[in-house]
Amino acid sequence: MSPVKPSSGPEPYVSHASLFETAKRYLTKTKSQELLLRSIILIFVYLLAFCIRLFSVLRYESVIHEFDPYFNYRSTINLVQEGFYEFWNWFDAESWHPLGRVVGGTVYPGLMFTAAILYKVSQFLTACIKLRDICVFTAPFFAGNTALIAYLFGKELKDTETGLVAAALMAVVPGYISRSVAGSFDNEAVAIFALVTTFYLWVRAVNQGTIASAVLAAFAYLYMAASWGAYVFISNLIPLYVIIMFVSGRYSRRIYVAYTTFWAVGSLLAMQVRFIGFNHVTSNELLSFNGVFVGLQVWEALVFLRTKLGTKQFGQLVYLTAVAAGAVGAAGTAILVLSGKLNPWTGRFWTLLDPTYAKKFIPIVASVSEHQPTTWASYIFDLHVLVFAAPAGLYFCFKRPTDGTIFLTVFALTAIYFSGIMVRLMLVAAPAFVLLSAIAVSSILQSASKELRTPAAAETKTSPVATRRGRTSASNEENITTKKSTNLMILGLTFLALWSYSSHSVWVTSEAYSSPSIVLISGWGPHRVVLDDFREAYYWLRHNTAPDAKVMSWWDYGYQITAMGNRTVIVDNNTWNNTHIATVGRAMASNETEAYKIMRQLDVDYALVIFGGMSGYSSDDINKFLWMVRIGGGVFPVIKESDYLANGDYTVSSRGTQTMLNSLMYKLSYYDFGNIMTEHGKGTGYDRVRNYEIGKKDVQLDHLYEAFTSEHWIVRIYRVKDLENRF
Amino acid sequence: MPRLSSLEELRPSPMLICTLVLVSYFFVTAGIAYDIINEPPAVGGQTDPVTGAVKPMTFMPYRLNGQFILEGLSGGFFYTLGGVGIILLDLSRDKNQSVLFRNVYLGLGLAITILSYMVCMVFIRIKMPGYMR
Repeated sequence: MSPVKPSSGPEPYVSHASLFETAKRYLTKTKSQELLLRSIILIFVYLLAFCIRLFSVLRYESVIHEFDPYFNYRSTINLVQEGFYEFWNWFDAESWHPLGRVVGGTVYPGLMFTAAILYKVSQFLTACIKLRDICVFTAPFFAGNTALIAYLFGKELKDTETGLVAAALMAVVPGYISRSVAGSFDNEAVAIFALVTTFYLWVRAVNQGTIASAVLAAFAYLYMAASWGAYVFISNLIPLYVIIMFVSGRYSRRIYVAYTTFWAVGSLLAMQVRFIGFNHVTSNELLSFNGVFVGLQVWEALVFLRTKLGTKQFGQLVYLTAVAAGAVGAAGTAILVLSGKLNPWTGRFWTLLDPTYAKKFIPIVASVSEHQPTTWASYIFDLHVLVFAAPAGLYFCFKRPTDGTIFLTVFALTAIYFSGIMVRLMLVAAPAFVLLSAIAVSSILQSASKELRTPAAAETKTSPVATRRGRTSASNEENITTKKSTNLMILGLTFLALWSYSSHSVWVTSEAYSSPSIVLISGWGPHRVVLDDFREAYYWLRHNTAPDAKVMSWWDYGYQITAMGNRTVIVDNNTWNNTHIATVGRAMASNETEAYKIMRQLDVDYALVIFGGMSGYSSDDINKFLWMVRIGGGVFPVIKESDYLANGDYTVSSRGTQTMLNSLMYKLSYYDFGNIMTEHGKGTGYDRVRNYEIGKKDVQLDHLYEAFTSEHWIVRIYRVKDLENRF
Repeated sequence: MPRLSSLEELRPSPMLICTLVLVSYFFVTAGIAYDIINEPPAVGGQTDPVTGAVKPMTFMPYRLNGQFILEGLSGGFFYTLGGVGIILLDLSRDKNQSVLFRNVYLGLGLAITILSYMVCMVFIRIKMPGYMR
């Protein structure tokens, strides 16, 4: 192909500028400067989001934290080793003995698939990273992605500057870091990314009003539905937004197209997850999602009919249809509810609407510490200056409402309300706070810098104003808002506020959110003490017990025992069967003979308790014991909470009741403890967590014997004796 | 259709909604759900070991997951006040206001914002003595 000849000369133009001169020419253009600055900022934001979450890996080792991540890790191993179809149809016989658990149908597989895909990709690129390391670093990787999506979301809501501020704030907000540190291989690590992506793509779909953008949003919704149970938050928030837009008179054809496509494609995709299945159309939790779809179709049909018929005929038709639809709808809902076809709301979501529900009816939900309501201090601890900037952001959203900012307002208000009810949901409110604060901070910075950049225009404006109004007082009052010093001060204060925010975030991450709770680390430098009792005990179980041994412990430790100890457990963190957990609770709370009967029924070989009296570890089973009593007593009325309380006081000292001091939990925790001197100046058997001496110091066990106690007495394992010979 | 136009008049103004939102923000961040469920006392008491007298203790110490009612309300109040301060800062940019109002909004806004931040820092240091150490 011959080159096109320019009209100026016979030869095509070839630049003889050197690399340096070309670079200088590009760099002096504002557009390229802006692009360069934006790219550098986003790269640094990504690196910051990744690196701030690495404290526990750097301080100790790359290990998976907490309880739930161990189950996710075990599932990912299963997925990678056995393959997709084995994982999809997996029945796990190693937990919930003798019931087993249908893992394929009761798990949200998004996280496992993500980690498996990352593993396969890294193997393909011959990077050969171990699966455990992939799992540990999934969360920081996705945190960086969330920061970039926050940039896109801010850009969609307002402008590029807001996006950059949103990305920077999202990278270090402590509320999000708490559940996405390296090692926290839990659903929220990828789910928050999916949540913000779905919201961003939804706002984009509403702004563009095309089918393609809504389908993209539906695929993001699929990722969210596959990853976390809080997908119902999205499914209820988007219909709520449509209703609010309708009521405030901002309904448009774009919303209709976006919602209809999102409903159709999103429902179909979400139903592919085995755990969700047909729940998506029959459950009460998604009633508004499906109801708003029907309502939108009805409204558009009415609008269509009105353009075709005359006013009078249309009025008659509307009246008839409204009456008929109302009657049919009411009758239909009544029939469905009465015949039980509509599944009721699950207990966890009822708690969000009525906070006192769980306390009265479902002790298991109420006992989880993450489900406790939030105090004022959690807000400033998890969000720092964002709590101040968020109301200002709400004000900016109300001042100039657009489709996107109204969505952000609805999201923020529901998220803030729910974060007040459950501490765990602070995680969902954190992106809302970040986006609101980004709008506020970006508006402050923009107005201040705009004033700084136009000093000449302001000066020429004041003199014509003074002569037009004819008042001399106008020239006496200086307008301090336009003065350079004021705006520089505002910029400086914003800088200081964001500096304090980032230093707070780093301190909080380092001190509060980076503990690998499987290992207890305290002290610094030469005084560092590492308590690795959990892994010591689980590996003892793995190497020193029969492969088909069954271990009974409280449900908190089930996942860890199955993953690290490789033994079958009776109950684990999935807590799907309340009666089974109540049986274990009853066994722990009864005296040894009764407990032995229950343990023989359940085929238990080993009983495991966590005891903190020697080391000072305060989340031990004696502190959780009242919950065992409550949950057991909820199913078996023979266990009464008042039997374990001395004058309303929960104590294991000499004032404790006989039922308490004879219970299996007391015996297993304090066996042989009465002979130990734990503190100077105190007697033997001084419990360092409860801070008093225990009641019964010589504990005799008839039906169990001590098999293993870890170095600091944190994990204690007992072997259940066989039945005695009759002769 | 005549009914629709009356719906327009029924709709509240955005700024009224914003005010209601700020009031609800105050209540939620003050930990009202915690107060309803756990029913803590309004202030705690600290028994003086020597005299036996009970000194009122406003902040539940060393625990982020516990609060007294008054402590929660004061925290929530200062969060909302800080937000109002930033709103005032923005109100001072309105070119259609008189210069006096703009100056007052600016000064008041700066003072309130800085005050709220300082007070919240003091509060969190009282509640958690190990903060930023």
